[in-house]
Amino acid sequence: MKYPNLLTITLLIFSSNAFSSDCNISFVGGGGEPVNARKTIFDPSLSALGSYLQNTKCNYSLSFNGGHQEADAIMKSQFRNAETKKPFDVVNYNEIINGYINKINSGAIKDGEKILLMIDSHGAKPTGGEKTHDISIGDATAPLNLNDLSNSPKINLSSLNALTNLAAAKGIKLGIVDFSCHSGATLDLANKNTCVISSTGPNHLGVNVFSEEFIKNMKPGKTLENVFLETRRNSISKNYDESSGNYPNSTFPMISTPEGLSINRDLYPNISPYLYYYNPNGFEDKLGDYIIHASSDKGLCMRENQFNKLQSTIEEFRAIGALEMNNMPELARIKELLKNYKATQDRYIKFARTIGIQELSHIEHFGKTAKGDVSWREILETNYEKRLDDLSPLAKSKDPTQRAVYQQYVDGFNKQKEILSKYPKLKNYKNIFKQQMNEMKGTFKIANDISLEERKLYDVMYENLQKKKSAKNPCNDFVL
Amino acid sequence: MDNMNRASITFLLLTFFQFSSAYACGDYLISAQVRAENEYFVLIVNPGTISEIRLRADTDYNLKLAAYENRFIETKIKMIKEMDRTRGEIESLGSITVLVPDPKLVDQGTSMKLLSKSDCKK
Repeated sequence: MKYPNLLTITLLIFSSNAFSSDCNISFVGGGGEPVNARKTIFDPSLSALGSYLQNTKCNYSLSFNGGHQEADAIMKSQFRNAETKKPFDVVNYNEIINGYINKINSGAIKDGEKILLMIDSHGAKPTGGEKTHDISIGDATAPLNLNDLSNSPKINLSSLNALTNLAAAKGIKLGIVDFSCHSGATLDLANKNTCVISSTGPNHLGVNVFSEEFIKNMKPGKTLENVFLETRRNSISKNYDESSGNYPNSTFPMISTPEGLSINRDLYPNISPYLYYYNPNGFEDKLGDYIIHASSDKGLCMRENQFNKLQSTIEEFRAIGALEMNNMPELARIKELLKNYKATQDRYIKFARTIGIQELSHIEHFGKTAKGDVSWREILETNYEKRLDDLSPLAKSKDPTQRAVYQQYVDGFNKQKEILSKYPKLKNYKNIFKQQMNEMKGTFKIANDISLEERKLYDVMYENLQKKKSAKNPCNDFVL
Repeated sequence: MDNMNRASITFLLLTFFQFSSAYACGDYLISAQVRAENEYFVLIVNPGTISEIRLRADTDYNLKLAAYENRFIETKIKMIKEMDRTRGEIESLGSITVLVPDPKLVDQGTSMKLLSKSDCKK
């Protein structure tokens, strides 16, 4: 009788500890990886989190992409006490988020208690009109386009709005850490109780080193803000050899504190182009698109303004820092790097303009409504001769609607000829541009060097702002 | 015999769901192949399968869609008329992203996801 009693008491103590924990952690992600792959690129972060959780009393749950053997093995061996441990799909993701909402509403998670939601999946560039961004959920059906995640099922993280609003209303301390590419878009979810941290800015790809180091830096007693700043400062990948396929550090990790938001506003838009680099894999390239965009008259003007603002921000900071700070970094190096990289990009923009690339986004209006709006790029990519050949019987049709359809293509063909007579190189612009861009391979290293200098700049800018605004915020109030 | 019956019932149920599940009017996110069909362009989901869905675009979109003929694209569409089983008409379409199809998949990676429902126009 003695032993069963002891067992019961032990179980009761264990259960009460588990249920009385004031912290809750969820890790979701692993989406967008190839079907049948043995492992996912997110496995090291998953494993690091497994080690962290062994030393905490937090309740935790997992929705991680299933079907990859090594990922499954980590889930099985390192997350034994998980409340839920399921593949990453819409149902399981919603189950975790709605589970928190229900627990808050029922009082199971109370005022002042913590929820930390970590997202580690592929993330898309935010599209116009959408707050936050899409992340991959489930496997990719074909090589993943890292810019828009086409070929992978997706969910939009604005689906977290109900949870963030409830956290604010009920005094729950909510931390959202988005490790995915383009995750800066998730800062939109921040509010008076929600701290949001991202591994990169909304226009940039992310790197795994941030998520792995962030989790390794998580220690009891540290705040989310401490962990972010430590990781941003020190999570530097040494593997920036282009041939190895490893990404450099050209990311821009973000945090939703007042200091972080201030730097994001003043520094990020203007430094963005200089963290881009050319990647021959079109699915991962940012620089080619940027060069095309910046080649337009409007883009060119914006680019010059942004560069001047960037130089002013650095100069202003140097003036303030020289008066107020003891550990002022050497800012001449970042200025020099930026100036040189701008000159390199300018050469390619000039070349792009000689081909006529700045005109590709130009819109022609063919109909009475916007339905007939077609870009020059689309006009150039259409085989009008074939369409006109296929539809030749319509030219003499008695039906005016059919004749109008034929006439559409005649008009399109005439416009194509007009464009090519003005810009003959646009006929083969993709190949010409690609050949030229191949010479931009070295930009990989330049963007990386700028990023490393930017880390130092960010660090002292943040420290300087902290002196002025040391009020409590959801990131320094979230203690692990 | 039991297996035969089970297979027949499954087949009948699938057939019933296939032809009875009308797609609602509203906004969709669609991944589809663009094909020319006489004077029209159609977006095809699940091309070449029993579940093929063909959505015909307004001819005003001809010049835009001609640039993507035979390619796979992702776009948002609006449908305001009730679909006739697996055939529908596209009232408007959004910005277009080109996709890489996956020949290993039966549907080649195409899909049709309802974003918001609206009443059909008569």
